[in-house]
Amino acid sequence: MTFILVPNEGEDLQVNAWNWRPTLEFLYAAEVITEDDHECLGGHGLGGKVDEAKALLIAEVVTRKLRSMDSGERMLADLSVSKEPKELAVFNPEAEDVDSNELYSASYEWLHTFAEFCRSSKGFDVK
Amino acid sequence: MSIRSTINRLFSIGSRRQQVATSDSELLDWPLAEALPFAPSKIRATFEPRASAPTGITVFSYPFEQPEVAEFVRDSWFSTPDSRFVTDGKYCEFTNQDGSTHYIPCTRLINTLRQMEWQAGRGLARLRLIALDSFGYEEEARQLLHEFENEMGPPQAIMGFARVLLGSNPERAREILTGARQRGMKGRALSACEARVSFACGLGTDGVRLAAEALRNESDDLWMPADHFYTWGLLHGASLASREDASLREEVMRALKSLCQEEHSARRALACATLAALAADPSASNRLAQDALDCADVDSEVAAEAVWLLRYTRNLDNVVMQLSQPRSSIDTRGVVINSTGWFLDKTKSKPECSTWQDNDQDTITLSVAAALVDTKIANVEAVREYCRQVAEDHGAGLVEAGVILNQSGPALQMIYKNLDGQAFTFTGLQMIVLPTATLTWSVVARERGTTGIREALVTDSLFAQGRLTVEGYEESWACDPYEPRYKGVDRSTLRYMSDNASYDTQFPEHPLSKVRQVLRELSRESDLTKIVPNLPVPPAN
Repeated sequence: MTFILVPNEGEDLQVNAWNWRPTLEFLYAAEVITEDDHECLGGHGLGGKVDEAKALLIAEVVTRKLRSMDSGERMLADLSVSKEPKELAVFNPEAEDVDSNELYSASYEWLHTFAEFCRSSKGFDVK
Repeated sequence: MSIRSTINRLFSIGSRRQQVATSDSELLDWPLAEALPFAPSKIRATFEPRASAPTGITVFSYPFEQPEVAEFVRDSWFSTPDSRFVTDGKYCEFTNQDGSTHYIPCTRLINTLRQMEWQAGRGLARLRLIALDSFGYEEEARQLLHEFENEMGPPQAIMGFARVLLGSNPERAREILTGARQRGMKGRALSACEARVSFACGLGTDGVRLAAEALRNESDDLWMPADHFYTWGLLHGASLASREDASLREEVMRALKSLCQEEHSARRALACATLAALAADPSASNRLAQDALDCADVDSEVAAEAVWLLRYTRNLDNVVMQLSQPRSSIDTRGVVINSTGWFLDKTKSKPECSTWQDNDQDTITLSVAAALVDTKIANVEAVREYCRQVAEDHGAGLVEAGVILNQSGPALQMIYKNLDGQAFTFTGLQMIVLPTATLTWSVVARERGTTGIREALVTDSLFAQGRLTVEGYEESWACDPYEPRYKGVDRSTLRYMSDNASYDTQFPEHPLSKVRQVLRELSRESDLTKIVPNLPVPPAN
């Protein structure tokens, strides 16, 4: 459930799947990454790569998104923004479905860290 | 520069790594290597006398990465090693930042470090330990390590020393830890430390085994949050590396299995499922993701990711199986043909080739052969050329060739015809190209009784409609459908205008119509998933 972003320059950045997947959804919706990128960057060990130009573009797009968010808020899987903290419940297999939209969300803090990382990374690999 | 300010400045080494928040900051200082102020340089484990050194002099490498330690004994820098200034003949060779080389008596450096401990604290004794160990003062090194063991407990002292050596001389670190094990030391933190050292020594399988041991063991006082992250991190790296290394992969999978064998949390099972996916084992990942869902303590966040992994690995599993199913595992006799009137000829059928017959003695066969090499199924011209060559190899003319959409995806389909006396035999082939094999349906139907009726009636009709003339007949009645000038086989076997599929409804009993009809039925209705379970399942409708 951990993805390690290994930059061409600087320190690694680790992110869990619950923050990473909605981030990719956002980048795909913003047409910064292709469907193939989305698949490779979101799978484990699929050799996802982002070059320097794209990393800078990602930094720009994420920074723009952050302007519409406040610290402590989170961007849900459907890209809406919520002030409500994530609520974890005990999983009930009898229940109809797991609310992925609620459970996968990218926090403001993560997006901020990610934007900074992209800006300085000179491109990165997802491991 | 004061000793304290030097230490403070150097204390930032390793601080770029995220530190784990803890109420007791002292815990982070020891035994984690990252918080140590000084890093030793590559230590030579054995004496390496320099050729240029005078007799009776042994020169060692400077054991620290930071030149500041040498600055403390600047008054003892010599331009050459000289036996007059040392009693034991030991010098350490130090290269200053300006590139100049100096020789420092080892005992002088060690004594200075000992004196500095009074001012800067006991922490500097670690440097003295490194110096003693690397300059070959074995007994004194052992005594100092023993002092550390008395002060903080043996495992912590040993791990601390090993971690200091980790980046520069992991083999020595490993020796120290192995010695500790032999002395009966054990524990979760010790295993984690050994795992890190093993990886640093390039011993991946040992590292994986020890990392799993650390995670399985009961927690002990020395186990810290950072150990937890590092140990899982080691497994993460090993899982990725194992994609290229079968024996490492085996060890990784064994480790993951062992981690989920006894009672475990849902998060652990999910972490293992992720690692299995990293190691490119979708089946294990699938199993472990299901395991995560089955745990008693699974929370909704874990459940959501486990479900995601389950979906992902099921798809991946199919692809992997399709890529890896050996040809010999496909038994054609398991296929059921839904078209009426065809019976499996059990005497003629074998795993690699099965035959069905109908009352006209026409046949359908399904055979498994090696995968077609360099199949350019997307290139129509290449497909036609390939099919023309197949027909020609059988002394036959090509009637049609192309790519159709079979239940299991695109398939190459062709029909050719041979002339046997006065009667034509039509053969239809439908080739389903898999990565490891090619499944080929072959439908053979022969003209029986009065022949040439289709040709005669269509010719009359075309003449009557003015679509065919005597001159045109010579030129276009019989020719290859895609290459009119082709003359590779006898003209009589080339495709006739009457072979066009538009006449099939007019002559449903004609063998060519029959071949086309059966091929259509096979592509729609035969269930190949019975023999190739990993073929894509067609939609229900």
